[in-house]
Amino acid sequence: MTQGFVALALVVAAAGWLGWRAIPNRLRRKLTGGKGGCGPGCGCGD
Amino acid sequence: MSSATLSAPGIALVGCPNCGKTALFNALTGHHQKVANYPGVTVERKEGALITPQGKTVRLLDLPGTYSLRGRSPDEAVTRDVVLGRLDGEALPDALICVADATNLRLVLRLILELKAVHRPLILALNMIDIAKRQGCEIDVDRLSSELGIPVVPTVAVRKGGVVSLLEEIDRLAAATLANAPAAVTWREPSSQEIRDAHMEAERILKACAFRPGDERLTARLDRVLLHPVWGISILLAVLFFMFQAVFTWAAPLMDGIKAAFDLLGSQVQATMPEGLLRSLVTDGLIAGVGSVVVFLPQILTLFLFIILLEDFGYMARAAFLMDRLMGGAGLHGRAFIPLLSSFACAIPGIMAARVIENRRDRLATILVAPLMTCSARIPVYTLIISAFVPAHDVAGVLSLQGLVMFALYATGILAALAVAWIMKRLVWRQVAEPFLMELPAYKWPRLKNVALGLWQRAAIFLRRAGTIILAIMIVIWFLSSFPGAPEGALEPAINYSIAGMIGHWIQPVLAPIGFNWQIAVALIPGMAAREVAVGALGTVYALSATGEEVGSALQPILAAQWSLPTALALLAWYIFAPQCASTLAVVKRETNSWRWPAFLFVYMLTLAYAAAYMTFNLATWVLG
Repeated sequence: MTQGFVALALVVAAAGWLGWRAIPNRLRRKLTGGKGGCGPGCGCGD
Repeated sequence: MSSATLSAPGIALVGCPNCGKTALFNALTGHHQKVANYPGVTVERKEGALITPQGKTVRLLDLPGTYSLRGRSPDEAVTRDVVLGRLDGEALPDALICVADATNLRLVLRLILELKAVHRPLILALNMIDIAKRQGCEIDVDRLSSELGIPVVPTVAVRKGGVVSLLEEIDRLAAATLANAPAAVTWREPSSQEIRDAHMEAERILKACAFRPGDERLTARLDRVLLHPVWGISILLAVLFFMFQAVFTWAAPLMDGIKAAFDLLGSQVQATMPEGLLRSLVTDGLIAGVGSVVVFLPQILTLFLFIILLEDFGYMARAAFLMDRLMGGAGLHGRAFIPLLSSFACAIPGIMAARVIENRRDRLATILVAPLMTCSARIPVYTLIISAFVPAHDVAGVLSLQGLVMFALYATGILAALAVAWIMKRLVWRQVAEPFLMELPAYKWPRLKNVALGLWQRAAIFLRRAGTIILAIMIVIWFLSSFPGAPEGALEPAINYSIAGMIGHWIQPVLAPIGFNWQIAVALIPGMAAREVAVGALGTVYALSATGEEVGSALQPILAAQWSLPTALALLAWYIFAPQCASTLAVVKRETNSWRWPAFLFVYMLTLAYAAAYMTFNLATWVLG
């Protein structure tokens, strides 16, 4: 039961984080007041 | 600025980038500067005032660096327009000071010859003369002055050296010619022949006035071989060939070590954690998924070790020179080489580097073919399939067959990029290639610190991706591959009944003609975020598909057992062309300021990928019976 909750929490956190990263940079910068990045898959190191 | 200053004679500083022009501007004007932008462009305009020893006030304008008056980029166009008096709101300069980097006189001589053709009063400031002397380069200043027919003043701008002499020269110029300078100039763009003639003249003047230090003589001797039309190309091919051989042979022991470490970790977790969802997530999702990507770190670092060493040695610019004929034949601009070379690491910096190409169509062609160059994210996919399907045999006793296949995949990507560029530039846009001039640096021994830093940065980028995006995607894939569970009495592996299994089975009919099974279909979807994720996804999907004794074993033997050779070859062909990188599409949108070009890129690459995979699969099936 505990394992299930932890696994579910990890899945929700991972999906949430990926969803957040999928938001276009400009909008993300507006929402965070300046912070942003290149998004999933970028290899530029930014 | 006072009205007296505004009516004062104006002198413009012109020079190649990084020649110390701004340092000289600061040395001459001190704090009397005004910084703004040229109207309509984001190019900085710096104007200042100076007072000569004879008390004359002169306006000094610091122009953006340029190699030529032909002006390809916005910066260079501003310099050309100001020098020629064509820029609205900017007066034609009464005189020009050309700032030259004395350590690289060859580069600026062509610009000086172009400036002379404008027929404005001209002074040459021979800057960084101290560094040139330290490097053993001796310049006969008087001879240079007489050859060029203009005053030459040696300067060391950062220490204000030669500034007084330069001010005195400005006074002499003011007394002699400034007031009589013509009110307008005439100039036309030189033809290719005129550019070649100017280059020959620059070489003649250089030979007459400058003594080459030993390292330049060595550079010239090496260049005679490395830039030779036959030997140069042969050596370039041999270097690339050796590089891909090394990627497979040198990295193997380290890869085995990493794989063994992940296997040990998986079995430890399996043994210590009680059975449950979290254990499945850790072993099948995180360790199998992330581990199957991280194992390729040694191969990526081996490849970048070569790239960094060749770059530091000064060979990459020679490779650009050797490739220019080939690229020009395909209709690509010579400046496209650097963006395309960057794309071997990642298409994103490559596409951004295409900003150096001014002509819109040249830039677009470069952006649209950059994703065809084999980026480092494809390496895990290529090496996984090659290791699983291509035997580790030697060819002719010395060459690894696996390395040969890898070399062929890279070569196919390059040839495809050239072919697409040729179709776009020559058949669709019908544009003629422009001449290309580039600076070849002197050969240098690579510095260990630079190499180590470059490799560390590459490793950090790769591991950060493995620890963030790939990790997160693996968790989501594990969820999609595990839920809903198998119904009571189900005979097939549970993943067949999961969401990922359903999606895979749903897409598989579209991919069946190219030989892809539903597991590949599942892996291709997250592979859209980043190509190498497909390898991790396959790791998770097959880990969850496996029955007891297969769990924890490497992905290569599983693929070798479950895929046919035509399927493996078709997947390699697919990955050469497939537009599987959302970030690349986003950057193309940003750089072209339109959704049209990323949409075009996606459609043309997907069409090529499907067609190549279809042909490969059917041809291989036919050949293998």
